[in-house]
Amino acid sequence: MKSAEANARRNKILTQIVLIIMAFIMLVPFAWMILTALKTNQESISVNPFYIFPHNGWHWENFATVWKSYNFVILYKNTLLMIFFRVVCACLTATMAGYAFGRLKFPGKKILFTMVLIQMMVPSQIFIIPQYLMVSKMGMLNTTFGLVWPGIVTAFGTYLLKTGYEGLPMDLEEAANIDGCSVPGRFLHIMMPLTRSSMVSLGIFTAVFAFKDLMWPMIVCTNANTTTLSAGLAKMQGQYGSEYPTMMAAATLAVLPMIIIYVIFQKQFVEGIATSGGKL
Amino acid sequence: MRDQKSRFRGYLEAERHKLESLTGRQKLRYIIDYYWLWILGIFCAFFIFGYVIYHAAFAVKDFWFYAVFANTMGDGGNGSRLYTDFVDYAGFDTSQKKVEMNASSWFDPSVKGGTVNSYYQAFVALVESGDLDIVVMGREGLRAVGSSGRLLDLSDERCSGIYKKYSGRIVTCEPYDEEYSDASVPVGIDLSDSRLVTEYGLYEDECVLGISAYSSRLDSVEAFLDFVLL
Repeated sequence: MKSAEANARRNKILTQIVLIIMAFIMLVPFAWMILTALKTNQESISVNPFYIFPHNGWHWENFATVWKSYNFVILYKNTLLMIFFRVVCACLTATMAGYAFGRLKFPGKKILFTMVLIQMMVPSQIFIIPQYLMVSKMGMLNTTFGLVWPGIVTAFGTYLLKTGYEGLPMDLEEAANIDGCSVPGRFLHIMMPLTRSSMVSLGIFTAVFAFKDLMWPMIVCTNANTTTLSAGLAKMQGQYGSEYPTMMAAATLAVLPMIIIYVIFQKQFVEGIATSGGKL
Repeated sequence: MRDQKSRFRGYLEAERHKLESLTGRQKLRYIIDYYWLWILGIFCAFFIFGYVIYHAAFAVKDFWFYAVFANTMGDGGNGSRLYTDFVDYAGFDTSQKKVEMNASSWFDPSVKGGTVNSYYQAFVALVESGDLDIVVMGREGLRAVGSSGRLLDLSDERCSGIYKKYSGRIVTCEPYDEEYSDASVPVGIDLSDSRLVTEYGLYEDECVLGISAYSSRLDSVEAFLDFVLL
């Protein structure tokens, strides 16, 4: 008995040690980024691996330099607007399409859903040129709408929500039908609220992918006033290519919104990943 | 379908009867309580359609000229001195069409792995869409881009004027399709002594201009060449 208890305790300690090591490994790049942001350029390129902390004081002015050089308020605003509209549009269109594919019967349903699946199977780069041409011909280059455009409809979201709707019991909808509830009514008042966790997952996935998206903002937003954090940061890479503290200060500022969003929606993030079985 | 229509008519009739029995204030409350989502949806749809239609009708969509200055630390983007000087020189009315200059693109296909980055993919998208006119970059990088078949063969009839005018500055590259021809292809114009280097400081020493294979604004390209080689 005592041996079993000791084994369990030992396993628990071992698990915790492994988890602490893993957490440390995950945190090292972030710590390195923040510490480098506070060093001088000379310190940042020092080959001594134990030169971890700044020796000549903490250079907070690196943040001020980046903040002055690039209008971070505008970059934050553009990024948050893009994330907000992409999440709203993706959830709205995916939930309606998912309900139709998961619950309704209509001619051509299988063919249409196969087309949705095909879209998921081809590389997203294939769509870049037609999407760029559409945005360009609509006169939407250098606008928030141009940034949001590729994220308005999502094949992955449609698939995720379809699976969510299919997993719900038929009885609920049948009961509502017997009570005289219309199809939109059933969708809005009964089925959609029950897929909240799938929609939260989709929202999280969409937000993270929108935040990380680099190529699309680089193509459609050439103006500094309309670009996003990822594209802005990529531009800085050229300008401050060899000034690592400035680059890292910019990177630290750029990840701030995502960290704040994560802290606020931590529970939903974990639930979302558990629901969809995906990774961010 | 007919059944659905009659059900919908019945629903509308029932709602009308309900509203008739209510006072004005109660009617408003009822509509807001039960139809707020529909109202919001319709409002959003109108806003989005209005926004799209407005932009499609009134935004400046076409380009006078679109240039990418790759691998430069200098200021050659929109609004830079180079931009304003060139627009003034060419006499472009930017309220009618746009002039786009992008000086924040870093890619070098001449090095291993030089095409595996978002900058290069964005550049390819711009070329393939037909919007891009020119790319300016280092000699080896441009030769590598030329070998990918994305730059105009300067011996092409379409740009015979440019080819003749700047024949002393031609830079060639390996052919895209060696089965078709193994002769070097003229794809670049050397601008190492141009104002891009001497006056605007976009490049330290050498730079070469290539014309996009799908560019249709060769007169603007010629104007740009004349401007930087004044």
